[in-house]
Amino acid sequence: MARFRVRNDAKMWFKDLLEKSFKLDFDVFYFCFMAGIAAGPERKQSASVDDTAELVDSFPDKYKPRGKLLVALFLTQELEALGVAMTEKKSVHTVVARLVSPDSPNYLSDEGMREFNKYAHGGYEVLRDWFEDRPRTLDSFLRTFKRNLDASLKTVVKS
Amino acid sequence: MPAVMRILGWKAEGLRCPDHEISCADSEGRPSQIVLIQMPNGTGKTTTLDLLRATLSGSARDGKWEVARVKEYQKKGALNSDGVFEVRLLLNDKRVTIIMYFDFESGRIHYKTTRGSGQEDGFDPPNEFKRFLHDNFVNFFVFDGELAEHLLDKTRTDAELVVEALFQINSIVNVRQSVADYWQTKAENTEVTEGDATKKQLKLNRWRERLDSLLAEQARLTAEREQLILRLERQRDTYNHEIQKETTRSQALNAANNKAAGLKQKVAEEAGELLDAMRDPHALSASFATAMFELKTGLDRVKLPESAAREFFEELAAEPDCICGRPIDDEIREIIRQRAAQYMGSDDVALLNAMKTTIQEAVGASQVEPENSLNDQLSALDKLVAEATAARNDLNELEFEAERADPAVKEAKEEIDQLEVEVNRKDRDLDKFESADASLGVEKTFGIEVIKKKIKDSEKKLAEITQTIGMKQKRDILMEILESAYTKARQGIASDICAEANRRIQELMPNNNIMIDRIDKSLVLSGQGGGSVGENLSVAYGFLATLFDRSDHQLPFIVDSPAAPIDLAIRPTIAELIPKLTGQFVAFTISSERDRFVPQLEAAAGTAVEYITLFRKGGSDLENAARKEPDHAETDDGIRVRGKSFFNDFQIDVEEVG
Repeated sequence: MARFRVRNDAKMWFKDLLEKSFKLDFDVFYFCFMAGIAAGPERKQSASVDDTAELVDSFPDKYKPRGKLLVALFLTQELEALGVAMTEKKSVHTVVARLVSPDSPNYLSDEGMREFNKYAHGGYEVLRDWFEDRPRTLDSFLRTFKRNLDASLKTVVKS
Repeated sequence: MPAVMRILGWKAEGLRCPDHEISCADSEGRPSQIVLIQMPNGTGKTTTLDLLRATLSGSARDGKWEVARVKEYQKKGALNSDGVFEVRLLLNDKRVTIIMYFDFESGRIHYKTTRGSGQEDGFDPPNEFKRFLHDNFVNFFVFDGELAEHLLDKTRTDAELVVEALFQINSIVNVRQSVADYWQTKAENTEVTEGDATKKQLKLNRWRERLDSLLAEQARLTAEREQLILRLERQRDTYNHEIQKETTRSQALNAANNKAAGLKQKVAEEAGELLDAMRDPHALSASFATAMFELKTGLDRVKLPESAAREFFEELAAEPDCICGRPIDDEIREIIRQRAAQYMGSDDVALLNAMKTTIQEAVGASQVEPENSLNDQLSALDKLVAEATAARNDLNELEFEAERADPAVKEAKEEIDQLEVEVNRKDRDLDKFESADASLGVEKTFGIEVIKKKIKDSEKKLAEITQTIGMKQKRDILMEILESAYTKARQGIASDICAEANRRIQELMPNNNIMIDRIDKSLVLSGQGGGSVGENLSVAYGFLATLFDRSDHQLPFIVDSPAAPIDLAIRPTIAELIPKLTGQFVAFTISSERDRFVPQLEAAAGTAVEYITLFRKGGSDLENAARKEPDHAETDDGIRVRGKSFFNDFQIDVEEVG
């Protein structure tokens, strides 16, 4: 079963927050993923197994109730990337059936998980663009993250 | 396990030889030890021998015979378009029948094999007989004068081949091939030269040295940093001590310090709460919330998931009638099954519905409210951070004033600033050891985990190479042993066979001075290339008698004209040798061979000899005489008589064509 994977260099970049503020490794994945989602499918990136660390196979702890929302957000991006309109029932069905698996604890098929991880891998590069240096304090990180996220989404909407 | 093969008989129909059936078994079905079949030249003796070889070797299967060659076997002037040759065998006491079917129209032959399990298409003798029942070996037990010539022909390898096959020396060659194949498979994906291993070992040593050096440097820097931290803490104590010497200033500083620390703590707490709020993806941005909601409403609009799941239709397709009461035939059933695939499974339906419910609960009421709420939290945090910054600035101002008023405080502060710079520098120096960037390569990166992983991978690879080299050394030793075993086995067996065969040849031809010198692919005779046809046949008998006598396997001998080319003087000796040569001797003879051969053979055998005469119809006197015999069988074009007196009275050597 495919698992969430996070880039090794992303874990290093979040080193201070992992030591002092984040309670979960998955927080690193989450902020990378959301940055990737904000930037859109064109920033998706593959990463080799050697360059990534394996995380959990299901949405952990505080992310458990938010897992389906994250999958929903992922589906909106993938449908858009494939040019599938929500009126095209058959195409929507095909894409959803391919990416989602009810048997998986993370609700994603193996292919779905591969694509899901690509948003996080590419999202780390987006974070590097947003921050001049690696984050040292949580408050500073969160405020800068939100500011850049808003700016990024405005840019995406405008373009 | 020794292989024991006996011929029980054969049958020919629709072929160039007269239709006939020969039994090589007694009245109780036991294989006869000696069977003499007298056929005048021209009645299809060679054809029958060829058919026996082809049936026993499977040499005509899979279109190996050309059409013209197949058609050569068609009965002359006949209208039939097919023919059959069937050989009945006893293989290790089990009956096996191999049949060749000739289709003269298409020029094709196909085989059938009947064994205990029933009749199967194709040539399929039991496995333990396959090494004897093939093209190269059959000629050694179904043979004629040509074999003797082949055994002595330097350009052929028949003699060596029969020795290797009978004594299974080939199995050493097969073991060698298996060892070579195994090695090839193992070595295919691995570098194998010792030079490669040495290079890898040297590289690995360099990497280990680099890792040791970096670990030492990291340990040194960590120790230096710890010393700096200790000095920093001591210096802060000194600073606090100096700055608080004056009471009024001390009170103001403590108040400012407490305020700054309290606000810092509040900022950390607020940030923790904000982090939890930001874990809601729909709170991060209204555009995310809107996208999720649009997904939900879009799915509702296209009715995904449907109210019916795929399983409903699959179950319906299995029913004899539809829910409307109409019967479901196979065509409709197939359509329902195909269209069921367009529906989601019940698990998919449940998941998609749960997702829609979660979206509804999160953003159904409002897509902007979650972000607004988050922004409120952010604003509160911003405010708190500003307050904390201001409190920190107030504290800094008080500290600055104290430093200006007291040089000792100033000095302590400068020392602290210097130490903090040094600690930061050490932190930066130590950061490089935690690099996860594998793209730089071991020689350039400082990432300790990267190097450790590379070393681990390299150690694994080196272990594989080392194992492969070890295996190669073992392979070389094993190949040498097998080569030596093969050579010694061949030489030893060949030498023993030569000595024994020469003893027999000496008995057969005491005055001819013919000896086998050695087996070097062919039989090499001492001092000469070969003798007369009769002498060569005698050498072949001597050689084959020795071979088959020494082997555990028992095969029949089917021989064309066993005595014809041999001098009358030698014939009795050959006749005495034959019963020792094999457990079953089937010979095709002509009447002129009887003299000084048949009586001696019967005497030496010590058992009943089957006398069979087979000739093509055409001479009425002969036919009438044959018909008077009690054991005769007549076909459209041939008569077969069983019996010694008819055999001995038969005087035709060559069929009269007419």
